[in-house]
Amino acid sequence: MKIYHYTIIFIVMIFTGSCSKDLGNYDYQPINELNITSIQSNYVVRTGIDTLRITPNITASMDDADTSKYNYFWIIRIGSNVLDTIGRSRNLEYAVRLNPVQYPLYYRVTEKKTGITAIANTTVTVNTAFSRGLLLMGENDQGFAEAEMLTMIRDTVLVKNILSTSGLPPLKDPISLVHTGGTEAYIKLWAFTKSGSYYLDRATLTGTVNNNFNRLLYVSESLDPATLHPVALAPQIRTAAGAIGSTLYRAMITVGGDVFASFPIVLGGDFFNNPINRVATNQAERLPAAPYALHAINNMSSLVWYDTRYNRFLNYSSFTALASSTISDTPTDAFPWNQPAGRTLVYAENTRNTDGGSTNGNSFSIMKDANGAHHIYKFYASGATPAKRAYYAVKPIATDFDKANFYAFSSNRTVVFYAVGNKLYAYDYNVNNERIYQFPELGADEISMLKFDTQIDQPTNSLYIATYNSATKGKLQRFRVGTNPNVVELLPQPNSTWNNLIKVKDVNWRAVN
Amino acid sequence: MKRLIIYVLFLNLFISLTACKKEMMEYEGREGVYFAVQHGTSTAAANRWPYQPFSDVEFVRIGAPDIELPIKVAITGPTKDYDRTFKVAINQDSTTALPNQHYEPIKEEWIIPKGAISTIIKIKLKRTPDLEITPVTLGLKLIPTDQLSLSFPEWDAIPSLNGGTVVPKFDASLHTLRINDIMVQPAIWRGSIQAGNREGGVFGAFSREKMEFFIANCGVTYEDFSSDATMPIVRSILLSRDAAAILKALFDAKTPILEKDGRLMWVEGVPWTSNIGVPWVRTP
Repeated sequence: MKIYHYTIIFIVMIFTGSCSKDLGNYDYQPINELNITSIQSNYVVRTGIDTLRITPNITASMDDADTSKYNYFWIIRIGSNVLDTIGRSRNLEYAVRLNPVQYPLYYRVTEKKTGITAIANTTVTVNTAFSRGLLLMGENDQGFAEAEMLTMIRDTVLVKNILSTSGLPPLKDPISLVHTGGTEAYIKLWAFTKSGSYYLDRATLTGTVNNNFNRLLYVSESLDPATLHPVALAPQIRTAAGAIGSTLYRAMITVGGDVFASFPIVLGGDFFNNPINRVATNQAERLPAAPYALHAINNMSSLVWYDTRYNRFLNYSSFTALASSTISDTPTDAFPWNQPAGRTLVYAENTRNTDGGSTNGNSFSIMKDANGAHHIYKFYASGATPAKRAYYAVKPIATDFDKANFYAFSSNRTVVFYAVGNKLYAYDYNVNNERIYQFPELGADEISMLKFDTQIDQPTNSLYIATYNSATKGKLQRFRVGTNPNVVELLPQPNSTWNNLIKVKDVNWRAVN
Repeated sequence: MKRLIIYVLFLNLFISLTACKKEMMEYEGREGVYFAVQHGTSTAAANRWPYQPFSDVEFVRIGAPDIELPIKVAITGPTKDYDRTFKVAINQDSTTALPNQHYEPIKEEWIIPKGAISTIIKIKLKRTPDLEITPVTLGLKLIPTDQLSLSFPEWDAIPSLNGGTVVPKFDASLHTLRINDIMVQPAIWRGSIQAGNREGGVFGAFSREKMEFFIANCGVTYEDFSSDATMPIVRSILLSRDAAAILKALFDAKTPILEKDGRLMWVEGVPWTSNIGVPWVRTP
């Protein structure tokens, strides 16, 4: 019977105990308190260049520096919705490849056993080292297209191997690395080559083959994608601060000779419809354009381009038009828009020259006859009726003018520089006072580029000369052309010689990200 | 005493062991079929679309003259290792569509294949001119068989499926097709009507004739006009330019395209204006 007594007592004890209120206790156990220090409130880094390194000091009230007992999270907030864990180690080491804005960065240290978490927050201000400087396009030692940049944020720094590390495939026949400038939403950084043109991420200088012109096209006619690589762009940057000749319009000429014109604010972005290299009376025939987008640099309201099939200049007078217009000539004109038989275009260039009231900048072209005679046209590629400003016959004193690899027209002088191999000439085409100059002081290196500055400091109109030597590599120098009208002098400018470059083919100014 | 302890221990062991057994509830209910048609908003994930007692069949969106419309029928109850038959018939109470005109006679017997939990039945529908003016309906009903009864004569909406218009209660043995070929102005139409009923904007006033002209001549579909993603501004402008060139060429060839009221069809880029209700007068 005792067993029944025990059982009853046992049940009573359970019931009695279950009625007991748990009053808790103050017999607390100490926890492992973490304290994170040595994290700054903000870190400033350059995307594509810097590695963000943070070594926090963590003190634990009950533990030593045994990192295996903790989980570490470095979490960056990108925009309003994206959280990205960029590190899972005690210390952060992160190669920055982010767009240049400020990001919140959260550091979380969690004790695995207890889940106790310590928090430290900071911000990361990402800048780009590539927002300002000279964009160089040329060839590397292997003959592939390569780009470099002389960044000029604080000190001048040469950034090398831009194309070869961009993620793009190897490219040939380089033309330009050019920043469009303009409205933020429509800005692009283009790498033009004859083997393919692609736009790069402006902050990181990276890209893929998907960043091609075809993506920007909404066309209803059949176009060969292989011909759709842009080789010329208008408008260009016209001030050191990055202003361009028009924030409303944009034109691009492809390697296949198609001319595309855009009114981005109307088209809803940097997009293009069918090409406009045609005339209204025969829309079915696309006319192959020469790779020169001729316009008044300071204010582009229209575009003149050269029809290589019928050897004539055509005018695209309105950026809403579907076709271009022929331009009529009269017998008394200085030169013809529609070329006589046998005359073809050799070269063309936009300048800041204002002769004849061309306040926004004249353009020049070099023409060649079948008999080898050369001609210079000066005109104002602006508005519905482009104006002819002057004609100059190139005199025989212009040594090897027909053999030139490059030409460059001065905006301030009646001078065209040209290069033949390693020889640099300046031809003063001032009528009845024509002269030729040579500059042996430049040395024996092959000249790879001539270009007047119409972007950074147009009153000075510096001349950039690039040379190349396989031993000492590329060299870029900036000269001022003297103002004495009786002589053409090249005046080297201080702190304006850059060595150990690629074989430079083009230089352009970039003013903003 | 010892024996008691042994009993208690065995009791504990028994309780512990039986506690580990997971009790799976067997299906209790009809083994039957129901219409398992789900649709909802394009912004909601498809797995959140509610079940529906009807389907809209809009030929302007489909763009084909005749279609074979798939409709899902699902089962309740366990799967079987043999085929089972169910029947589908026209529900005359909710049908205005005419056989052989709007639809082809439907097959009566359908199969739930062995091991399957659903199947697709197909109804052949025809695009006829009268659908441009008058919509019709085609009611379908499931007929129970010896093998499969009707699962949900009273369907209650599943609360988690709210990615669209929720019908709280309906008979899932019935499904109605609402068939039409009526073209309404799509979500993206970059046209306007200006003072004096003059057509403006990129496309001008909407009309079925203009949309059909676009579809026939400019490589677009009615569906392209459903969102900004498929009809961005740049594509709209390209479309109007292409259409304008064709309209102008037809006009020059003295075969202009006219709207129903006799006015010249208009888009941005044609060299004429068009006012709604003002017919074009052919000049001799």
